[in-house]
Amino acid sequence: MDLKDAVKKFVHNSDMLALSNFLHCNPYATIHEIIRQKKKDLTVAVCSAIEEIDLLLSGDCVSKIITSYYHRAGGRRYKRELDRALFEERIEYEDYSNFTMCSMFMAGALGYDFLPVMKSVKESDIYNKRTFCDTNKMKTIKSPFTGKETVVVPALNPDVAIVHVQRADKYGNAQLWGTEGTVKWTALSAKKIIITCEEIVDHEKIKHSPFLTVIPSFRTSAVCEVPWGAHPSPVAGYYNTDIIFRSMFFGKAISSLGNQEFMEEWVYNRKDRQDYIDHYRKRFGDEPLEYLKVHEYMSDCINMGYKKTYWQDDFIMNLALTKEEYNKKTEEEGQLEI
Amino acid sequence: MKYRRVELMVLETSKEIKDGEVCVIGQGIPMTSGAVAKRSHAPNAIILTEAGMVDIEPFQNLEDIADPGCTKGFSYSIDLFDVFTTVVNRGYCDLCILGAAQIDKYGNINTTVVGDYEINNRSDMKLPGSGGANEFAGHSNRTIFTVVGGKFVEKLDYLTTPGWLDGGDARRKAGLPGGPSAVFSQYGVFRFLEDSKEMYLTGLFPDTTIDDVRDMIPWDLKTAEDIGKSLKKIENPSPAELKFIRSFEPFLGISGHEGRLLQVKALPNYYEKKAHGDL
Repeated sequence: MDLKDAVKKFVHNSDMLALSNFLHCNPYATIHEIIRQKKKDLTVAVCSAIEEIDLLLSGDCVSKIITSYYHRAGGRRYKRELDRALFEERIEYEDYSNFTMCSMFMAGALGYDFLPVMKSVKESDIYNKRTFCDTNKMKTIKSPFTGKETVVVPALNPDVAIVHVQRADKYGNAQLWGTEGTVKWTALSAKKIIITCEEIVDHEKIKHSPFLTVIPSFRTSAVCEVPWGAHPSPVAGYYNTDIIFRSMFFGKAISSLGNQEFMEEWVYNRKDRQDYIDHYRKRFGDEPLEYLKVHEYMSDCINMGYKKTYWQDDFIMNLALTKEEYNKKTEEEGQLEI
Repeated sequence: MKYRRVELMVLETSKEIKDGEVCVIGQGIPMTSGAVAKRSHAPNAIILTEAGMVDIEPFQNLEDIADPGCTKGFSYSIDLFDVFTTVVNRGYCDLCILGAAQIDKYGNINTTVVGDYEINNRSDMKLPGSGGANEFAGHSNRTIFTVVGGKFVEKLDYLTTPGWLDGGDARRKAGLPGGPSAVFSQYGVFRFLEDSKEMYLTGLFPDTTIDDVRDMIPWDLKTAEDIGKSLKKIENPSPAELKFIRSFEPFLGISGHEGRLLQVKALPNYYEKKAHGDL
């Protein structure tokens, strides 16, 4: 499916949007497309964010954010769109920890109402100070078995999750490796899942390594092949973090004007990810992208194996009968006749 | 040969990691220390990151805690939930090393906000947030904090991550295991008093006086001498150590601000000019 169509069909105004990737394989191509389609009033739920939140805020797509980490580069001097949005009170923001966020996604994915979490959060302002999640941020209950005080978090079931992976088949079996982060639980908690991947591969190839599949086809709403779809974040086995690009963004994002220039150049004026990469090559040459490509370090091939059948030549292994003996038996035991 | 205080801090912090320990390490400076330890005195330490890479052997510093290209493979691939539950919550994490933006005398940490959190988090300065810090420091057997751009404060603007809480047995009463064991700054090293759990100075960097350290601490800081121990004089690093650490993370050899300017301004310009034959 074309990514434009997938976003048009599955992302709606006022949705809760989950960003599944955890600092690795970030779904930037999809984020750019959401911005170009001017989606509004989204609640964004993400465990750890770098540029994702800033981009979506710059596109005026967001009204609420639930997160546990927002990467800061360079300290106080390097303000970005989130600082401006918080200062101007354009958005509401709720702080969790990575573990409590992941537990909310996991509860949603498992089909439970809530999950217990580690108790240290109770001793912090993450528990004590609350914004829009208010009393539903976290609660404390007594364990019904031991009576121990237990902090619990509610299930999150976002309307749509976007996720970038290394490869998938045309049915939407999505395979990821390198760093798993929160990808599986965040994606599976959502009602719809949009997958972008570096490569669409044959179904047969997926079946050779099913342990790499993090999202199965029956949960996938759309799967789109988007090479370089996670740039400037790293994708294990494909490319590394692009420091040039990321630094350029941090430099531009300090002022509203610079931020707007960045958005025009890299998001609004780009048709799609191919156009973005073409533009990158035009501006910076081929060298930086070539440098990002990783050295090969191949996974060892294991034997998944499949067994021999019961019928070996004219002998049936699980009954210890020859073909003739078996035919004789079926004649004796048969109940109806043709 | 000149060097920066932060380079020595990274080396000193790395010495806290004992060979064979299971260590969870946070983004930035702590990760550099962990990676240095693994490549020097603690080759059998199990370094894991929150993103689920267990037993990495970084040949270069990590860009972040989910940087899969920093190592030629690793032994155990799990997800973030597994890291927190099966490793940390079960007590298998010997040591965690994390950065601190604000730290108080009992080793409680703020990495969420500078200024007033109220009014919808409308803040002077939004900090990264907890990330994994709350549960890592809350449940690891030992925790070490590094303070580089951060501050020692009387009262935190926001308690993101519990240390010894109100001191004494407050942390045990809250049912939390472990606790902070040391704090590394660019001027001195601090540990915590046995009973009160108050932070005190145990080591001093070269060319640094106790008063230099006291100037940064808003409370009446005790030193090792106050409890009848001697204050450790931290030695200069050797040229070989500096060479190694710079090969691993060249950024450390220059100031953070200078490095950031190079990355933000010079780096894109360099490639842009090169691409258009202007160099």
